[in-house]
Amino acid sequence: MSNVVAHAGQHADSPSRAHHRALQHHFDTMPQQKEAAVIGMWVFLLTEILFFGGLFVAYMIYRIWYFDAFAEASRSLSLFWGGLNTAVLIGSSLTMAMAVRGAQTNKRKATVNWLILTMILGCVFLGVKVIEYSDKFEHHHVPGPNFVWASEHAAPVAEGGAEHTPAPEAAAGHRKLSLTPSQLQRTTQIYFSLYFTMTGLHALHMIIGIGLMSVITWMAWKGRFDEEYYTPVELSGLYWHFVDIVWIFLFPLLYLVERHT
Amino acid sequence: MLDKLRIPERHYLHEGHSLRSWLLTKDHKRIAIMYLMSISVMFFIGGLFAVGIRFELATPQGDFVTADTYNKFFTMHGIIMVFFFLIPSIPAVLGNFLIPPMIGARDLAFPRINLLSLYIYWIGGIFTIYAMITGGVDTGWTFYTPYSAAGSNSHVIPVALGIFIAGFSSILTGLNFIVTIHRMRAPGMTWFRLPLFVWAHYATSLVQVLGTPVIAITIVMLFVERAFGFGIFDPARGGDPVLFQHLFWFYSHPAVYIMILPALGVTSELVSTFSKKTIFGYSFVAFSSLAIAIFGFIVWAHHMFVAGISTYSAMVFSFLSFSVAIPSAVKVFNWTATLYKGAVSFETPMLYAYGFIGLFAIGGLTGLFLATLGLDIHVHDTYFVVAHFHYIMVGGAIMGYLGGLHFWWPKITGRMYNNFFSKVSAIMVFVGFNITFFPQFVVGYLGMPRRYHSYPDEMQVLNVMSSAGATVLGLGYVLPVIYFLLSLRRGRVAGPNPWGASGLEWQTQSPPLTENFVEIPIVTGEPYEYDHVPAKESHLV
Amino acid sequence: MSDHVSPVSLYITIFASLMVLTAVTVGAAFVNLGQFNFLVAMLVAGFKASLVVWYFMHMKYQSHLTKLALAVGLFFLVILLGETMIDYASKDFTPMPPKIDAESEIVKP
Repeated sequence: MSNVVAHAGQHADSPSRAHHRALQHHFDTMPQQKEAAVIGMWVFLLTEILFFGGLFVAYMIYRIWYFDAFAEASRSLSLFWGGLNTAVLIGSSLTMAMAVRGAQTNKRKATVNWLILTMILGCVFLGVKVIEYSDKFEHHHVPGPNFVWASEHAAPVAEGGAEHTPAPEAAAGHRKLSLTPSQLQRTTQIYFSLYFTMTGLHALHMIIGIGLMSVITWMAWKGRFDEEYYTPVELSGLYWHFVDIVWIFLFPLLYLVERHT
Repeated sequence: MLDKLRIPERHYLHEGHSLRSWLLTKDHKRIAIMYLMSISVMFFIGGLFAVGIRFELATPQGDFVTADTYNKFFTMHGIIMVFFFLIPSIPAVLGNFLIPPMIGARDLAFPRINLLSLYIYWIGGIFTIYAMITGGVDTGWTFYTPYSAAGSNSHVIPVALGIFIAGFSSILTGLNFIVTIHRMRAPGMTWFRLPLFVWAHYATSLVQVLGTPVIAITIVMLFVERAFGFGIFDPARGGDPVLFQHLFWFYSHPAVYIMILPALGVTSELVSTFSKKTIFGYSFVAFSSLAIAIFGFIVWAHHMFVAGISTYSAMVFSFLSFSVAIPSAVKVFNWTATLYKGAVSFETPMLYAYGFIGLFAIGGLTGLFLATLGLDIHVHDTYFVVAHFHYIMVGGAIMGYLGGLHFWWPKITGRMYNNFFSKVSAIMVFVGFNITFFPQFVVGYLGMPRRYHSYPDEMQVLNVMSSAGATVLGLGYVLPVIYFLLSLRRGRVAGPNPWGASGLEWQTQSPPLTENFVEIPIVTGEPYEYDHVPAKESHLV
Repeated sequence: MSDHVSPVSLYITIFASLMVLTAVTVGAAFVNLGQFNFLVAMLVAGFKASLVVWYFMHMKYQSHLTKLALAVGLFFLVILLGETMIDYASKDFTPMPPKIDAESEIVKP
């Protein structure tokens, strides 16, 4: 009735096999351990995809409903800072990939240097975000009771007139509504609510990433990694690239809603 | 051939007795025990709120507590039971303990992450208990906006944070199981030789990993709305409260499959063991777990039929909800076919399994009532819904959990519990459960709304029945605590395999070694290979 | 044990491609393509993300299981987005009131 044959020869516990010092007792080999860790990290990144995904759902629906508000609000963002940050983050992905490569090829100093460079670029990104956020605070673009929208980024209006009522019948064919200035004022808060939540969450992930990397850098400095064991570097790399990918989507969604007017 | 059975000298409970050796353990078995203690505490706290609810509902007037306090009772009952008891229960206790031995591994893939998931569970629980002590939450466990974002004066944020944190515990458990089952199986343990318990937990883990993040982000959005005054769901600023519901239920519907799939896995083990027969249609049962997990993700808006979704999408979700019943039914039919001409016995775990099959069937079928659009309009937000989900969650999931606990207790502790009282409490649970919840179908169909602390006089008889049943049910839950604890000192030594069950976990000593196996086994046989040997004989390899 | 070590030149190429594509995204935003602006932006972003995943995150050299895991995650993201849209796309959108008299009160926790 049992489905086991008592084990004859091969098993991984014989003391004669030399173990890498980093091999944990419940794994048989280093490749098995590393592969498990990498799969585990990818599963974690899947959870992050679904985590940010909820915000993308909200964004998608409100962008369709309140396109004009989104377009106007998006134009108030600095394309310079946003573009710079995109370049910085892509650059940090390069330096991170180089850091992992350094660990793979057992180059301790190179690994440490590339990791430090990645962290510096990460801090540059965060610094720019501070600049952008301060600007928003000054202009009262933070949603909530103190929100003020001066509508200086409106698209040029073909039909003149300040306060014309919307034509819902005309809009019924598309999802988009033409919004009165009062509605525009209020729905831009939705845009900024999503802007702050999405970029704030992204920035939080970057801070965590930089924290992680400082630990990994210290470990690399101490010589903990070699070509057989550099898993922590690889895993932080995966995390950091993911954070870059989120920004690759956030940038066009938040900064480039409608720039051609 | 057998001397009087003895507890082995060396086993996982003897590997260090200090608090430190427990709190810093990497042993999945010790982590499982600590989860067992934690969720038991949470179960009784959630149960206390249930006592408050049933006590109030014994009379038609709202005379025990105010409406606001009653709102807090059912909210806290739901939150504790769903997030802090049912979701972790079988996976964190039985899954953690049994998956490595079942697949022939020494531990889960990530033992330290396993420990971290326990710590995270504790932190989440502390936030929630703190919020309860300082005044509680009254939004309902579903904390819909705009009330939760702007209207409620209760402690929404700490509770929301507690649930957010506990969600990570769930994610980490699921992540661990997925990687373990993929990469840590013993030689010869192919996918189709895995116990169905493992298949069920694999499917559960997929749901935990993919679904939980969405409620996490929903809570983040609720948090920024409430704490900072952001307007994502605020209608005055163009926000849509129904969007909150879409995001909430995208997780919370699959969550119910997190709660039931493991119990379905336990039942497969029990039915096979106690009919001494291999499970009929093994691969169908295995795939049905995956199907339930996948289909469970695409039916969420059946909770929103009257919330303002379009008729078209309501039809889509209704149709898909019918389809998710199919894999569940596959399991019930296969268990029945397994029992047919099996050497069927009535040990305590099997009593729970019988109860499970019947009550799960009733709960599941009433789900079809709710998935039917026209009927749902009549019974939505009534006690019919409450009865439906308690049939699945209590009559199903909790009985599956108790059955599993009674089945694997001898493996976990090395001792048997009192046979007579265990059967008495199983029967009390079954009888008490039905007296509590069957009247709720009737009273709900008659129109009694849920979440109200008063009701029309003519419904009192059924409500009193329900409250009386709850008393029996409660006693049925208290008894196991007593005889389980007593068994630790005075229980008969169980030996490696008191039930004559198949599975790698039964080929080792009870309680197991810390490292589970002296040598990792090589698997060559099929699962559930029984040859109709009566359960009384204990089998040693 | 050999993990694949990518050449530095490959990483530089991918980096350069990502920068070029970023410029493309920005440039395309200044062209009026109507409804297609969004699609172009998402396609470019998707392609950039694919480059990062395939080369920087070494997905090209991972097991089938890892690739499958990512595919499954993306599939359910599509379900989340798509099935929610089924609801929103199939119902009339009630415009919010043109003006409200009192500002909505935001209750502090």
